[in-house]
This record gives sequence, structure tokens and C-alpha cells, in this order.
Amino acid sequence: MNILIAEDNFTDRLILRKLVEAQGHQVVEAENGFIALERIEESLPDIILLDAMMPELDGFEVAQRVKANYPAHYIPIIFITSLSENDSFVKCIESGGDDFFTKPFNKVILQAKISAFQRAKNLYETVIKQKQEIEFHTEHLIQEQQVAKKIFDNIAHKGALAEPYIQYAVSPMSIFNGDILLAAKRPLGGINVFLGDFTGHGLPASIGAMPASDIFFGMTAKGFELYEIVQELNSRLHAILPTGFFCCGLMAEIDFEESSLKLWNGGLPDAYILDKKSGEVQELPSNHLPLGILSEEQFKINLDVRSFEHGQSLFVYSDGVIEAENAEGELFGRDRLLVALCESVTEGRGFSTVKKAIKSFVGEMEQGDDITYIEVKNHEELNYESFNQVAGHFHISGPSDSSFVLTLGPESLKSFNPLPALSQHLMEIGSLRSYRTQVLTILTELYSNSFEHGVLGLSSELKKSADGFAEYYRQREKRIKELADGYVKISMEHENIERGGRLVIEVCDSGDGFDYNKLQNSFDEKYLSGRGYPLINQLAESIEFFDNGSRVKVVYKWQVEEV
Amino acid sequence: MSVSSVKSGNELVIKVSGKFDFSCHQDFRATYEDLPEKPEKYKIDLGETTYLDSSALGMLLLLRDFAGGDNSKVHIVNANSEIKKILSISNFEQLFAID
Repeated sequence: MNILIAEDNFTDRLILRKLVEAQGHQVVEAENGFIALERIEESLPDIILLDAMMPELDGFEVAQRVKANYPAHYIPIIFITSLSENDSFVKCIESGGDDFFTKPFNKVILQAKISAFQRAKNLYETVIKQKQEIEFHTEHLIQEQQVAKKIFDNIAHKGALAEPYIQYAVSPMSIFNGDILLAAKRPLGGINVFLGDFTGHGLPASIGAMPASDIFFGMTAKGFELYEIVQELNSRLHAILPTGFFCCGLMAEIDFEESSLKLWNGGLPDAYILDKKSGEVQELPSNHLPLGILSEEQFKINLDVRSFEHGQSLFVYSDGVIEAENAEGELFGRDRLLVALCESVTEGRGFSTVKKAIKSFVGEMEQGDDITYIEVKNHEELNYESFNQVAGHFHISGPSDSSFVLTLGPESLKSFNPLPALSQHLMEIGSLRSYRTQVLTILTELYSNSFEHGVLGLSSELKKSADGFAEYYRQREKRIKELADGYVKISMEHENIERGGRLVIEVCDSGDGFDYNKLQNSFDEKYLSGRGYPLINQLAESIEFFDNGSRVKVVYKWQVEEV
Repeated sequence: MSVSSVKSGNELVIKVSGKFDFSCHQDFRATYEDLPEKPEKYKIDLGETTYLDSSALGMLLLLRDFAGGDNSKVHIVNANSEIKKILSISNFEQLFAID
């Protein structure tokens, strides 16, 4: 080590020098305070042996200045004093000294003190180095997380959360959110909503959210059913998440026009349907294991189907709400939540009441878990807006003259939904893409009528009453399970016409048909009466019935304006 | 929080006291992972467990997987009503016998 000896007495200085050099250290000498400071500035010593009484500038001043000028360095100062200068001991320490060395000089003691300070210095330097390493790594980690967050935000976009009939709150604990809240409009109207709570927090919790979000938005846009999206989510998460990791979630499919709500709840606390008119609060409990635990074969779905009408709203939340803590360590709890919801249910202000209640309970407390909740109000959806023609670019790509026939027997009808695949095929026809919604509407209507009324023999009368929809759904599920024979045959022929095309869709089923003459009389009405054949009549060029009504032929023509 | 275990015959009884959360991870695994003889049955005693979170659920799943997955015999006992409620929201009775 380099040791500075600041001592005005020549002899003492020499003795000290010999003692220190004998231990193997380098010595720099200074005979007064000013020179000492100069030497220190030239080259920082490791230890300073400092005489308290020196001319020009004494040791106390030197010590104070060293401590003040080099605060980031550890330079132990050993004051050299004689025993008689008792009062100065205190002054030594107060001016920044770390130890004393008294005359008469004892070689062993000096060497022991120097060694001790050497150990202390090594320790100090190790700590500083480790601190710098930690700071470097932390900085690096935070930067990585910020980049990952940007990628994440591009995938897990809010979708339809900005709709006026939706209110939601997300308050993540860290840069990343273990809770995921998604909403997407369904192509034929209505909305899908998903709240997921992944095990853990931060980055590991959020990684699962990326494929989940992709699947949710992608499948919703393609017209897949709720149960299909949930099944796919479970399969994907089961495949990628390690054992012990899963996602508690709730997915809802709301059809504003049919006033119905289909729900899957696996692991989230009870969701609620709030009824402004009756003041009723219905519970929608979890009756499934969370996503990612069971394999595809073991995963069974039992959807909860309810009516969902004007004046009602759906309230969904993650357990972070229940577990929100106040300064006393109490939990917000299910009871307080219910009180807040019931209190304002007849005013339809569930969301804001809960928000206020949580805020006043929690105060300034930092939370241990993400707090996520959402309220979706039923509203009048103006569906026909989406049926207007959308001007599109003229594409030459895709099939220009094609046809195919698809026949579905009972096994396929039970477990396979052909609509997404059919619509996907049609969307390959470039110029047809602008009319996506109209064509999908026609296909969906034709297929569900053939399947539900034709093959399953269900009556649409049931759907007209409030709770009728739930009963209709129950019967539908029952008949699907029992289905042993029957078929639906779909054929599509497409030909190009200048700047557009012509699509002939024929759907026939094994059912008994219906009296279509009565139907055709009502076609003269010029209003859009929701779903059904009258709607198709409005959208398509022509609709014709054959055999006993079990075969329908629709011709759809379109043309694209050049942009 | 503390985790202890007792092996009697071919059954391993694991007891978790206090908060059953992420801090129990190492200890919980240690009770069953490197035993000289693998138990046939497992009993998880939650009599003195005050709190259970999702990482605890994850640990139970890990144990079940180790114990043979669908062929495992894992019995959760003495859970208080709060804990039982947490287990039932996640429908864990589909995977574990719970008293």
C-alpha cells in the first residue's frame, strides 16, 4: 500500500518511515499540512499517518479537508499523538480521524493497526465493486423489461375496452401486469371479454399473456365460438406453462341483439350480473379449473348461459380486489365489494361505487397484487350500421372461379364449427374482403338455421322470451349430445365478374323443412328485423327455397369501386 | 410460515403452518423430493395454515404431478373455511380429495 506520513519532526518521520517500509509498504513524506494536502492531490494514499501538531496547517485541518474532499474514497487516518495530549484525542476523532498511534512508537502495534485498516479497505472496495455490479445489472434488467413491455403492448392491445358502455380499472404492481383484460367486438355484433389472472407477478406472469391475447383476438375476429376460444387457450397454456403455473380467468360472450350472455369462469371469484330495474345481483361462480392445468382431453366446458338485457350489466374482477389491503392489514373482502355493488345497483353506478370504496379503504397503501375489474353495460347495438358497403381496393389476388361442397355428418356437426374455415376461404377472394361482415352474416344464418332448426329440430319461438334463450341453449346442447344421424351440406360457387364477383351459396339439411311461403310474404317489408331470412333477403341479390324448405339458395353479388 | 413432514408407513404427511405462499417453495419441495422411498399416499395438513395464495396452489399442483398426476393420492385435510373457499373457487376438488 501507499502510506502518507505527515509529521514535522524529522526524526519521528524517519522512524515511522522505517517501521512502515519494514512491513513492505511505500512511503510518501510531508513535513507540514499544506505539503500533505499537495501530496494527497498528486496521488491518493491508502492510509495517512498524521501528526496532530504541525506548523502551517495542523493535522486536524488536514483530516477535515481530506474527509470533505474525497467523500467517495475510504482513506483511514491514524493520528500520531503523545499520551499527554489527552484533550486532543476527542478532537482527533471529531475531525475525521479513525485511530491513534502514540509515542513511544511500538513497531508491533503500528503494524497491527495498518493491517487492520488494510483489511477494512479491502472489504470496502469489495462492497463498492459489488454495488456497482448490482447497479449495472439492475439498470440492464429494467431496460430489458421496458423493451419487452413495448412488445407486449403491441400484442395485448386494448381492443374494444374503449367502447362507451365499458368501464374498467387496471392497476399493475410492476411494469408488467400479471392480470390481463381484453375485449373484442365479434364480427357479427356483440362482444367478447376476457379477464385473466396469471400466477405470479411481473415478467414471468406476463409471458403467458402474449399467446393468450393473440388467440383471443385472432379467434374472435374469425368468428369462433366462446367454447372454442376457451379450449384453445387452455390447450396452448397447458403446453407452454410449466407445472404449477396457470391462469385463472373468465371469458364472456355477449350478444346484445339476442340479449344473451355466455360465460366461462375458471378460478376467478364470482362475477355478477347487476340489474338496475329489479335491483337484483346474480352470481356467476367459477366451476372450472383455471386455464393451463388440464390437458386437452381432460378439459370439459360447462358454459353458464343467462339472459342479458337492457338495464343489466356484467361486473367481473380479479382477486386483487378482494385482497386489497389497508394500513391496518385488513383485506377489502368480498363483503365490502357486495355492499358497494348492491348500494348502487338501482342507479346503475356499480363501477364508480366500487372504485370509490376501494380507494377510500386502501388509502395510500401500496398493493401486493394487481387490482383489475370491469363493468360491461348492456346497450342497444345498432347492428345494421356494419352492413353498409365499405369501399375497398380492387384486388386481383385469390381464387377467381372456384367451387366446393362440404357435407357434415352427425359426428362433425357435434364437434366441428365450419364457419371460421368457410369464412377464411371466402376472404381469400380479395375483392370480397370489404363485404366480409355481410357474407359472414349470410353464411352464419343459413348454417345455424339448417343445423338448429333442420337437423336438431329446435323451434325459434323459444328464443323470443327473456329466459327462453337459456332454455333454448340447454335444449340445443342436449340434442347435440344425442345426435345420431342427419347432415348439413354446404356448397359454394364463385365466379369473377368485372370488378367484383358472384357467389352462389346453397345449404341443405336432412330436416323436415318449413313453410317458406308464409315467410316470403314478409319479405316485402323494408325493415331489418334483426336476424333471419328477411335480413338475408336485404343483403343478397336473391334467396330461394326448394324441396320442402330444407334447401336454400342464396345469390350474392358484389362490386368494388376503384379507389 | 413453516413446513414440516412426517412419514408413517407409506404415507407422507406434510404440515404447513402460517402463510402458505411463495416463501415456502424450497421447504415444501424438500419434504417430498428426495426421500429414499417414494410414498404411496400424501396428506397435506392445512390445520394451521392461515393464508393460501396462487403460488401455494402451484406448489400443490407440482406435488400432485410428482406423485403421479392422475394416479396420485393427495388428500388435503383440516382446511378452515377461508382456505376451503379459495380451493373451491379454483375447483381444486376436481384434482384433490379435500376435507
